[in-house]
Amino acid sequence: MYNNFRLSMTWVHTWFGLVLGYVLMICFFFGALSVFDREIDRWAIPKTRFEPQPMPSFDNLLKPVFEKLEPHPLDMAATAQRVIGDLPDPKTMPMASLYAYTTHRDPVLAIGAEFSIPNKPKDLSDDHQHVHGWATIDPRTGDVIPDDALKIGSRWFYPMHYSLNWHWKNLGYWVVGLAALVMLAALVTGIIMHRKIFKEFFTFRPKKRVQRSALDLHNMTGVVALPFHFFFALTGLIIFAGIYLPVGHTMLKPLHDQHEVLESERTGLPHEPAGIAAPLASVDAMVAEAKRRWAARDMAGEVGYLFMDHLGDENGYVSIYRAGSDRVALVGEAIHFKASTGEVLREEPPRTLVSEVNEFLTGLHLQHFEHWFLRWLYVVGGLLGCACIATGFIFFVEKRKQQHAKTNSQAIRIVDALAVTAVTGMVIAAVAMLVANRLLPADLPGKGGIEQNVFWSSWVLAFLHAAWRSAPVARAESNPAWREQCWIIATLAVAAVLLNWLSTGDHLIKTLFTDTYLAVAGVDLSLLAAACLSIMAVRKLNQRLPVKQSAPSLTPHKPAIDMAAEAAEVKGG
Amino acid sequence: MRIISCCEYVSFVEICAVFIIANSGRGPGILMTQYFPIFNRVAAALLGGYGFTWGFCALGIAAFAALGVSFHEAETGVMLVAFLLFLGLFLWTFAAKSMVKVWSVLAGGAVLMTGAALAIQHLLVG
Amino acid sequence: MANSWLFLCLAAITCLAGLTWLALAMEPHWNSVHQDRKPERPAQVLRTLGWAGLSLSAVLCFMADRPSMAVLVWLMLLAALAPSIGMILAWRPQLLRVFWP
Repeated sequence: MYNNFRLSMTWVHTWFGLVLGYVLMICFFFGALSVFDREIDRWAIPKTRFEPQPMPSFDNLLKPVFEKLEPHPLDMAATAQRVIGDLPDPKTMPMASLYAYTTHRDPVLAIGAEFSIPNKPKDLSDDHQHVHGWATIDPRTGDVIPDDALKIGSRWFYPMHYSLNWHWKNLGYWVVGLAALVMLAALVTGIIMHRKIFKEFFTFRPKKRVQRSALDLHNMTGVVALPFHFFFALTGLIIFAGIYLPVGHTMLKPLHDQHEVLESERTGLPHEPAGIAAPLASVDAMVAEAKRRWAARDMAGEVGYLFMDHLGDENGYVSIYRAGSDRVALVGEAIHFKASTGEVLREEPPRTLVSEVNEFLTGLHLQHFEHWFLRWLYVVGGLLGCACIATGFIFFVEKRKQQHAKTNSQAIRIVDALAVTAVTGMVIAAVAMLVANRLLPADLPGKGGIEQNVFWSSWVLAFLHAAWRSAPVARAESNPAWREQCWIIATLAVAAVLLNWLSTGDHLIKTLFTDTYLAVAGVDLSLLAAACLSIMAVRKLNQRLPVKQSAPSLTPHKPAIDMAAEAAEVKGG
Repeated sequence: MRIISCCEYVSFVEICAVFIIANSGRGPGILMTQYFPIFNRVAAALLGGYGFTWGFCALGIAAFAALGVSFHEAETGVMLVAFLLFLGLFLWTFAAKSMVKVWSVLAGGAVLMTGAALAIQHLLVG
Repeated sequence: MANSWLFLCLAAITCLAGLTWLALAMEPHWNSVHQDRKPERPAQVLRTLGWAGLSLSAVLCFMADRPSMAVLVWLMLLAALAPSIGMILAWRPQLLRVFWP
């Protein structure tokens, strides 16, 4: 673009980084929270605060639960729009397939099913002829956890980090995908721009100008966690490759379908039902056989995923997948049984090299393994990503604000206000949601929806506040919103911990010592750590406030820097 | 009911900000002539790069399938390198001297490879 | 299980030591750690020790976990500890004398 290669790369880094940086903040921060999504769920839904459970007995417990499962009203409504004619009564729809899914961190069990419908689709290429039903159950009793109780960790923060919870036309996924590509480009261009990668590996000079120390932190957090940043952006793209590059579902669909049929001939797993009714043999016996076979291959383990297709049909089969708690790859080593007799249809052979690599790459991102130390390191990695992006914003503002002050331009205020919104505002939204969760009564109808509204509206308020307070930026000073929002974070975080105590009786002495429950203790401690860090950030910022009206703007001040680094780290909550 | 307008609002303001900063201190008249090269690069990097990557994936999957590799295996393998290819194309678009060359490689490659993939599929499926 | 925690702790300590020695091998960091009294800097020794520390920490990671997991743990340890050393160098550099009195 410029005649100079390095200048072109700098342009890409600066402008793509600025525009998509706000999205990347969301991805990294909520990604870091997602490492402990199940633990945040326990905090938010107190009646599920019990120990993780293995997959329960199908014959005794799950079978009656599935018999009561019905199509979900949400999917009934969505399907009604896709098909011709009225849908039949949900109670009469036959269940075609079902699944149950758990991990080593889940007390509750996620179950779901597909129900067949006779209706023809409006779009002929749409071959999805099912309505879905799903539920979360207590695997000890089979009781259904009400749908109104939003799993804030795994159903809000987690999808936030890959879809922005913006589902219309999948646009959220596409924005995040673009941001991930830009992250990769920013890393490569950053390496090209940065001349002293090794010489300044450990360099952080907080006593220099803000612009300099922000750049130090930007470089340090970018370089030391480079493999993390690169592989998480890349594997994020690979995980959703089916959405970003749906070649196999669109253009090459004929080829895909042909191979699907060939595949089912090769694996012996029927692609279509036979149309002949057949009973279901004991699934518990199949599970026992699967565990025996895994142990024989020296990888004993629990069931992670149970799947049945063509229910009640002669061609029905049961697939039992091992929970991948002890390795990076996800659930796997499936063993498939004939549903009517319980005989083994197929034991999946060891993976090929390509799928081995793929499983490793997606598994390292999705982290279903049991390794608490690595989990915390991932949180640190995510927060380093936030620190890197936040310092990038600050560098952008610092580099330009003197110039803009001279020309009396207000434009830089918008960037600064958006930076405040993307750093402290995002933490405020997340913590405010937790506070709302503890304030609202557990059985309130539509509770999850109210929590989501609190989340969005507190974020909007944070933006309005940052924009309203941003006038000093145009005079090349710092925005007081940084400090004020730090106070808000500290207050909300402490309030969340106190409210958790008041509403459930689970205070830290109990959850840490007398009746240990680390999931809740961990969330509480992270909230307190967030509060401490934001107070420290405020103190640092106050120390560096220039004495009012002294030596205007020639002596550069030292404001927002640590704030951003620390506020970005604050995200423990 | 989700409040999606939030995201839209933020991205809108974002675009405004970038635009205003890039323009501060300049007149509006030269906007189009001055910014056309940038829009052209960005369009080539995103749309052209995507098209080329699409063609590469389609041709890769079809070719492997023709060689007897299972469809899903081929798809998985191709996707592992697809985004690295996209990244390379993206950066090259900004580094390249001639936009004619960039567009002819990206668009030409996309069309040729997609066509080849469809031809292979036609042969295989019949 | 207990064993793997022991190995991981040792891996973290050796990683921290290794990174510190590598930092001390660089002149500006050596100077900020030793402030006024500036002893001779054994740069080559420190560099060798540093790489040895990092390698040892990698070995310990591999002893704690299966290889695929160990690679991740080691890279993430580096990512988490290097900025910590940067922060110590910026705020309390004297603390690092622990690793090279």
